[in-house]
Amino acid sequence: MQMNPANPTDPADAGGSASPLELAMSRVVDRADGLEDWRALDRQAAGDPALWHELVAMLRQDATLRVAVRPTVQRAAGHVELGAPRGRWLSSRSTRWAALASGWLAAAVACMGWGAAVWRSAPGVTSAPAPHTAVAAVEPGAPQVLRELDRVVLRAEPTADGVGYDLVYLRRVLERARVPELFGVAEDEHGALVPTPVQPASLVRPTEF
Amino acid sequence: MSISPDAVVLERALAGDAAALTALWEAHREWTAAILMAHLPGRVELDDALQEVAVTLVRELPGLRDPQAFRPWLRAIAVNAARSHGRRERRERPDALAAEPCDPASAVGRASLADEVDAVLAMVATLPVDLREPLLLRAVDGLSQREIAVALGLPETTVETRLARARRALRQRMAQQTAPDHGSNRRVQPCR
Repeated sequence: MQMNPANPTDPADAGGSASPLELAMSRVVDRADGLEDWRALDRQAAGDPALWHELVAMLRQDATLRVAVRPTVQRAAGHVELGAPRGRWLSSRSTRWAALASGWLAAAVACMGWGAAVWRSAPGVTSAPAPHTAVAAVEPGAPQVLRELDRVVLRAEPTADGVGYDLVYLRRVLERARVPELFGVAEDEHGALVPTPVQPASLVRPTEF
Repeated sequence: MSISPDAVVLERALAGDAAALTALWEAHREWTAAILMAHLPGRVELDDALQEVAVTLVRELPGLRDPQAFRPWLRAIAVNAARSHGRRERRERPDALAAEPCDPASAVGRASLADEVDAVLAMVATLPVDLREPLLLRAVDGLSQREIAVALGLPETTVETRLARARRALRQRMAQQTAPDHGSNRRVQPCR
């Protein structure tokens, strides 16, 4: 296969097809080659030994491309995590706003899942009426801490050396934050949680702060 | 029709399983980054664009009607994110786009692997996007021609043809750049 460096035209740019020989070389690069591909290459190389040089150059070019692309792609992908939210996840325009504002995607999604779970289960906090459960996507920035509620002991065991107890407990911090939008969570016909806009009036407030 | 390996994960994510959503993103974010790279050649804000794709994924996934169409759906989100970034960059940094592109030949003639990598990337950026996209996807680990075809919504034979054309075009450009009489009167910048 003769390459013509002086030829300014590039058939690849003009669309169209690839010749059987080009397909055979590409399959070799892709490790998808078959016997017929090698027969075609052998036939061509009998009259144009430079073909082997071109094939080697193409293989090297492919290896170089992988070296070039993979680290770039892996580095970018490694920087963009969804985080590890536990339980169920939710979607919200608020999270998009928060994430775009400061890369808080992981925090916002995790916060929403955590918030929903605590709101449902924390003793002393009244749940919002079904089917909605209040969820807040908190804006970037420190929320205002109002006070800490009583701790909830989840597990208490005597220590192995007999001195004292090992406690696992839940700390509950009451905070106030400004949110751009309010969403509730409802189940759709398939039982999946979906975000639903809610009005503050529809939420039950356990108390005033 | 065979079920793709991540069909179960996708179904769980659609049902609201947060761990499945995370797993889904981790399984697809690298090839998604390659799509962005194909549509934002030579740009540096790959992280930002990928962040936007992640946010859109979280926001829009509940609306995905056909789980079998997940790959082309995610690819469409990535292409839109790339276009959005391109428009934003043209608006905010017109000088950056008007700057003369680097000269791949400045790296081709040098010996180090880093220079060769720079040269290949610069050459890839000059390919038409319909050739650049499958080529970059193929360079990412784990994506077969069939998977690329699904993501791009193309027949597998078309992907094979485009890969062959892309490799030929890339090879021709590299050969042109290494020709002895190349670029004697051109004003170009070296690649980074």
